Amino acid sequence: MVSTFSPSHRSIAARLRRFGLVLLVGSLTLLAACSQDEAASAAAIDSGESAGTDAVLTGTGWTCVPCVQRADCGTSWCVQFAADTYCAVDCTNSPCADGLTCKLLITESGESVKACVPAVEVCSATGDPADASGPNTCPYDPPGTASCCTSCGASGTCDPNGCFNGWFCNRSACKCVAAPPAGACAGADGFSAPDIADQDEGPADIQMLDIAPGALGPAGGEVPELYFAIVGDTRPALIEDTAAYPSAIAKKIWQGVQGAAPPFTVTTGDYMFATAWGSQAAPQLDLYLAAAAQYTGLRLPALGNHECTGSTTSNCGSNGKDGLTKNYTAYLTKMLEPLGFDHPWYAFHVHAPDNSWTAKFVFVAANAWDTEQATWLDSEMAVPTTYTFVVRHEPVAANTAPGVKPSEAIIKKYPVTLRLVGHTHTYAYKPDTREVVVGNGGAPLSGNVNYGYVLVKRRPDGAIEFHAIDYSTGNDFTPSFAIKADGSPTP
Amino acid sequence: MARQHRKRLFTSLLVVGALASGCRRPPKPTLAPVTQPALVAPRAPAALPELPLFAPRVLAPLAVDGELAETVWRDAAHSGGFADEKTGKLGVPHSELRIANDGQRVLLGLYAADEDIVAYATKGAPFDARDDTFVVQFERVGTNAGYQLEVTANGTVRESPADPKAVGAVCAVEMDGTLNAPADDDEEWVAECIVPFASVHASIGDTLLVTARRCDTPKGATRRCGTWQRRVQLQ
Repeated sequence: MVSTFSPSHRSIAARLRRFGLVLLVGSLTLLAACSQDEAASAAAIDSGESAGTDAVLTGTGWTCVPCVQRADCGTSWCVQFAADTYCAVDCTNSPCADGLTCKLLITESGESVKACVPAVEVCSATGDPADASGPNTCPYDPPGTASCCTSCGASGTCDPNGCFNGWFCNRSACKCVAAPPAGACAGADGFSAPDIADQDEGPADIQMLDIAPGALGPAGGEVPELYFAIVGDTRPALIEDTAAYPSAIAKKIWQGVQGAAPPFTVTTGDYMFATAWGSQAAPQLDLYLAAAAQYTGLRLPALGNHECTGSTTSNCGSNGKDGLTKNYTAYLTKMLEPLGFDHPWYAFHVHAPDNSWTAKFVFVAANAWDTEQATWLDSEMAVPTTYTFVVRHEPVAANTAPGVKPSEAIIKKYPVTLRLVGHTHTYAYKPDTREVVVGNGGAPLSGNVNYGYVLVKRRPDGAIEFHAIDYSTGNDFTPSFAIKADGSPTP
Repeated sequence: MARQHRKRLFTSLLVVGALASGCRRPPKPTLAPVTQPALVAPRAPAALPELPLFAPRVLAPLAVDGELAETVWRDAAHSGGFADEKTGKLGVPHSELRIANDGQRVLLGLYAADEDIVAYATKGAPFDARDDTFVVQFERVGTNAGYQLEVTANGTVRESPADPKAVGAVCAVEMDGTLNAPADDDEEWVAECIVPFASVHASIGDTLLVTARRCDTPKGATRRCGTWQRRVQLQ
């Protein structure tokens, strides 16, 4: 193929010049027509996309209008600010209102922009940065209160506020949002406070154990029903880019999970993107844990390749070729030690109160694979249970991870209900390999769905039903699917 | 003389492109990539003026190795995710760009989430239509001076105009996945490039219209393209 500007194109250029006048007249006419069309189209786009709310300047100069995406903010940006995302007016070419400063910020989609925000990074759920608004100003309508949201449309189970799954309706934008921060609207008329612990947003891995419901602990226990969530792959796109950690997305995802209130949640790996021997693993895990602290249930993590060196082929641990990287040790220290585990592989068993069913979750660490884990996996898989879920970061097809092929050789000897995996930054159910991919937890998306999480529930008929939830709406991405205990699909 | 010739040719192509594309919105950009369909810029943000992005001048050392681990890339301007060409919304698979300069060269970091990394290109040979490729175009605002850089997932680089006397762009690619192996799942690939100011006909203080595009076919899905366009000022 020849370059656009190569000498061989000179004859074409001469011809073009010969017809230059005609072309110029023609193009000017066409461009004029296009301009009109563009203006009309822009107007159409505006009418379709500007339903959102601009950042509101009030008497105090600023109202924290929450947003999930740009469309929520009209002509303003949706920026990451005060550990969440809010609408903010652009200030590239114009000064900010009194009391606001023009800052270089990152939008919800990762773009650099200059926008007007308060100098102090404080926003309350009431919309007033200084807070102290009374209960009557709470902009969130709880699920049981009629409101202006329409996210659930005509399908699915619709809460009276127009949202799904216990989400709240933000009246100021008529958008469904995850539960507001703890205590934000306490006392509001008709407000039923969501079950969010009033806790510090800092790393809360150890606190999590303190508040685990009932007898359920890291080793498992009795649960009234088999009901859990899956979240996977939460990390920045670029290595070492802690400043671009997807905290806002992760926080909303975990708020959504909290709103659905499963007693435990499985995470499928990749919580960081840091150089193996650098300094950013721990700070990124802190950001992850801060976001995950929105959820007060039990979190059960699987190890991803980014908790080793980042490469899919990496293998950590004392017997792995990559050894004890800082990513690996930070993961063990911050995410597994609070659970009482000293290996990145472990099992979690739950059962019905009457023992009518049992389930095990077998966590395989394919990037810390060794013979010890292989022996353990074989013995763990041999334990008979009604349901068996294998939790591993890499799907079957990511077979360059050192533990995928050898673990599959063991897993295939035993009954499996479903593999719960991540690695690919999307959501997908793959019945042929009996796996569900949940990798849309904030890492750069590679598939065709938005960020979100999955809710899993055992039905009265014994089938397991999976719902993939879009974090921005609380709606299902796709129709749910169900499987029997043996993994076969069922209506 | 050659420069004047290129300028005329560029102007001619601009006119032809406008005619050929009908009323495609917006009328920019102007350079037609060789291996992929003509660029279609993402929709401009609703009712927002076209605001420049500032590509900062960075002094920290940079190793062009495909690993965007240097602080340069933290300080660089962020594009955010490219927009889906059909919907104007955030596109998937995710693509993004970082841009800065070192006083003499434009520094580009390109990220591509990719389930199946494909590239068969070799230097000097035609690019394969299946190749995973970033196409980045630079047009110096207020002039007709344009430049296009293409980099594939296997690190093959093509420039237009290609000036054999110029130093040219240098890129390195790093991937997490296996090239041309559809049976397994890949994760991403990253290109790290430096482009001399001379190639983009610009210097500190100049503003460039930068358009970047990447198309990909996720497993089990149809081919889709994401673009990003913004005026970028070299600071």
